[in-house]
Amino acid sequence: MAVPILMPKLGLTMDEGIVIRWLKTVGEPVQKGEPLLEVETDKSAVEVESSASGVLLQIVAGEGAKVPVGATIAYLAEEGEEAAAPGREKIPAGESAPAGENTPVRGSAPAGGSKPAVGRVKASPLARKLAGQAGLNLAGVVGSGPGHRIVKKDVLRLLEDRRTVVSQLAAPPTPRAAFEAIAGSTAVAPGTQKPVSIAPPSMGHGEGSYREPVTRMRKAIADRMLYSTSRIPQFFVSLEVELSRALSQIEALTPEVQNGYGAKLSVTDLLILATVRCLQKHREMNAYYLAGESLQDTFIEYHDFVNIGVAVALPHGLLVPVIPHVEQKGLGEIAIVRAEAVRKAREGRLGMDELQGGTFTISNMGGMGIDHFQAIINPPEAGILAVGRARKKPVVVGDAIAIRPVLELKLTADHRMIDGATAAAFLKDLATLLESGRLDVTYGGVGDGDVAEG
Amino acid sequence: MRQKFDMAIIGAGPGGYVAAIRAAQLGSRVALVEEAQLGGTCLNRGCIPTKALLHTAEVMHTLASAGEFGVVMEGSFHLDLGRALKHKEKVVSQLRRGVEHLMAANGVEVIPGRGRLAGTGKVAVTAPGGELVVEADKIVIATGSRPAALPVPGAGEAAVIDSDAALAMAAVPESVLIIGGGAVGIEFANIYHAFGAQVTLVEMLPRLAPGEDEEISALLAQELRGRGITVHTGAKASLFKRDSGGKTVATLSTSQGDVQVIADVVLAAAGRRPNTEGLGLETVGVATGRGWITTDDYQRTNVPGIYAVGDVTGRTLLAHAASMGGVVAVEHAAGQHTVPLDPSRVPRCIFNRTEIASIGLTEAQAREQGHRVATGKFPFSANGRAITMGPTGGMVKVVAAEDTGELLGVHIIGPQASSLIMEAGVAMTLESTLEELTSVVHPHPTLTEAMEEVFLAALGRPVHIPRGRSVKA
Repeated sequence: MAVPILMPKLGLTMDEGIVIRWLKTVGEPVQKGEPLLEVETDKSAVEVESSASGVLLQIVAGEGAKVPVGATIAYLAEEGEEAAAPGREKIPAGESAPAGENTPVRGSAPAGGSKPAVGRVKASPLARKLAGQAGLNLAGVVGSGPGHRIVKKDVLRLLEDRRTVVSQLAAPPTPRAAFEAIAGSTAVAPGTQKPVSIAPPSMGHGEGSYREPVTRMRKAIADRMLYSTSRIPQFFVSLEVELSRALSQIEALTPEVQNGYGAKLSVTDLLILATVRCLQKHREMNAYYLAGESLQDTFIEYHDFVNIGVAVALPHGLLVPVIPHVEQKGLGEIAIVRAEAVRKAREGRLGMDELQGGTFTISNMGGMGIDHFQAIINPPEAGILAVGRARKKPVVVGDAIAIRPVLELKLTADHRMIDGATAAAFLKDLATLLESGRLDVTYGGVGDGDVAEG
Repeated sequence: MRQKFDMAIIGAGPGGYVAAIRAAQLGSRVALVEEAQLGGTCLNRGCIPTKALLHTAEVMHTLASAGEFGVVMEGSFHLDLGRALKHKEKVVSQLRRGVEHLMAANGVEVIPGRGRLAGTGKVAVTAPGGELVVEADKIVIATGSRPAALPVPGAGEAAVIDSDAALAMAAVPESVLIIGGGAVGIEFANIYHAFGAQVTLVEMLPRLAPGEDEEISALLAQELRGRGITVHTGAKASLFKRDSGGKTVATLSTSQGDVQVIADVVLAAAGRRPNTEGLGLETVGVATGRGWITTDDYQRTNVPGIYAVGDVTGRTLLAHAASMGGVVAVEHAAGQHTVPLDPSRVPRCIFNRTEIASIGLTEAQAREQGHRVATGKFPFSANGRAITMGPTGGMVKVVAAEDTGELLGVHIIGPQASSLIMEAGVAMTLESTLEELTSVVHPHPTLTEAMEEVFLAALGRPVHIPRGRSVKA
């Protein structure tokens, strides 16, 4: 007999859902657990898995239909069963169905093999097919074809983006979690799964204006940053670090690093090392938030290693080369590896593998004369550290005013996994370690003791 | 005298005048600068007048084969070249008047004279009445191309003409040697041969219509030879001499040694050159590559505000590509969302008696690009409508991606191929795959059923030919 598929309850507060798109056509076989349709709730768009195996016999709730939780949205025929269909009227797109209507009624058979109605996704058949083969969700994507239709080119670009992002996520627990990141990284507005519709600037834009297509790098930055700011709740904690001892330490170590590694030691290098020590202590900050669709497939992934991304400004964009396994490096090695990474970034010689796998990012705008700023999280990392300019200024020492070198550190943290106290503890430890001037700069030097003392 | 416009377009061929109309539709004040006649090469010296003469040739063929269809001719018929040329002139002037009317109706200011870039946002127009400067925010160069001279020793003294001269022929020569086995050479071979000349067609590359699928080229050569046209491929004209009787003796170098061909007229139909002389490209620094203006996907040159479309860009030298390029350019210039011209979706037609039309990749190109290819073929000899039209040759061939069913290329040699190809044009532009195309109902009995069948054949299930049997056209 026909098995009814009901509108699932996808969240505690959900009492109705809108069918976005059927992922199977009538007549197509469906396995239990296979994605069957997409449903939009008041919170998000969710792929719903089939609760049974069989052949999709009839779609009751068409695309766009608003249906109460528990109402029948489709019927499956059990395998081998003749398609004797319950003949309930289809709920027309955009209209609502009464609740609790889940008793199949015998009636005329539906037309077999009919295609799903064209939903809100405007895409060419080829684009749909390619997306289907790759398991890519096109909902919310704005295409480049006529009338912003999604065409092959757009899907290929999305797939390319996905490859990049997926490889940046170090072994996510579920492919879907990684995928969620990408779906969001395309032109999707915060939380809505609807195309961002930005009215094109009026024609005949003023004299002296002209347009240039954006570079791939620009687009990648735009997509990642939009994703980050629209999907990640970010908060900021900052403090000022008194640098006298750190600078003395750098001064003392400079000849050694220069001779031993041929690299010029900078504040950034010391910062990287101190950050690594603190990340090893505060493991929550050295983690990924892998958002799934439900409690069961959402994870926080902690790392035993620390890969530090360093933001490098370029003439028309920025890159974040990653220094891998900084926890196994001493200060001299960090200095030379960082200098090399920055140089390669500027010369455009970084390989894909040198841009991937970061677990925490440091952005230093001190060299550009900036005192303090806040950075945007590089997903799926837990935080990013914004470093301002080291400068002398009057500070209160005891009860007197003294002139001391200081710089401001501002930590941006992902509130989904980091709470204020965690962020504060991390940043405070980092400041203490820098101010102590006693950072162990050799590989294997464990900062725990120092930090604890501070 | 100075005039100020939003857009100035140099050249009123199918690239320029279509761009002018689209720009006017978008609300721009448009100046269209043309030194000769509206319609450019296409309307005045190319596509249209050759089709007029080819139609004369077609009528002659119909009369010649009338008996086969039960129409008995009492007496004979012959060509009246003067009247054929008059027909051609009538067609051309009617269409030209149409373009003039369109310009007026769209409020496009047509400025007669030779346009030249004269600094940023300035086009100097030289006309018999003097010079004026047109100022415009955006400039579109659409000056087109012209036949290239034959780089063959002795070409100067031999009776070498180009297609412009051939269209104005005063008499039909007894014998013609056509250098160039592309669309122009093939179409003139048809005209001359129908009009009674002995025709030798020479192509330097190993096959005629070298841009087409190899199987199409092979069927074409077979068909031309069957009609009595001499075809030399892999042959290069290496020397022209004039003999005492005024005929040209041409030496063709082939892999089998030299061949001599004697002809009254040599038609140069190999290659074209961009019309950029005296255009002032250097005054504003417009970049070129081997003479052709370099443009990006949106038809922009390297100079902000200056676009180039059509033949002069050296990309897809076809009237319809120029028109679409013109639309892309002006839409982009107006800040509109526009979709760049994709050369792989521009149909190509050769108006041979058995027409040739194609779009996209040939089978060899698709394989070269690493596609896993599924092909389908369907002969017109299995199409009812084609059979009613007389002896049927030709076929449709589809090249598709095996995994997705994406159409990569469609190739037709057969009756009305130039119209049939558009089903593939629409399908490819909308990115339909074999799956959708095989569910399109085609009217019976029509030539279009061959399209349905070829899509089915690519999936291994044609209806009107046995599955898996090799297709012979």
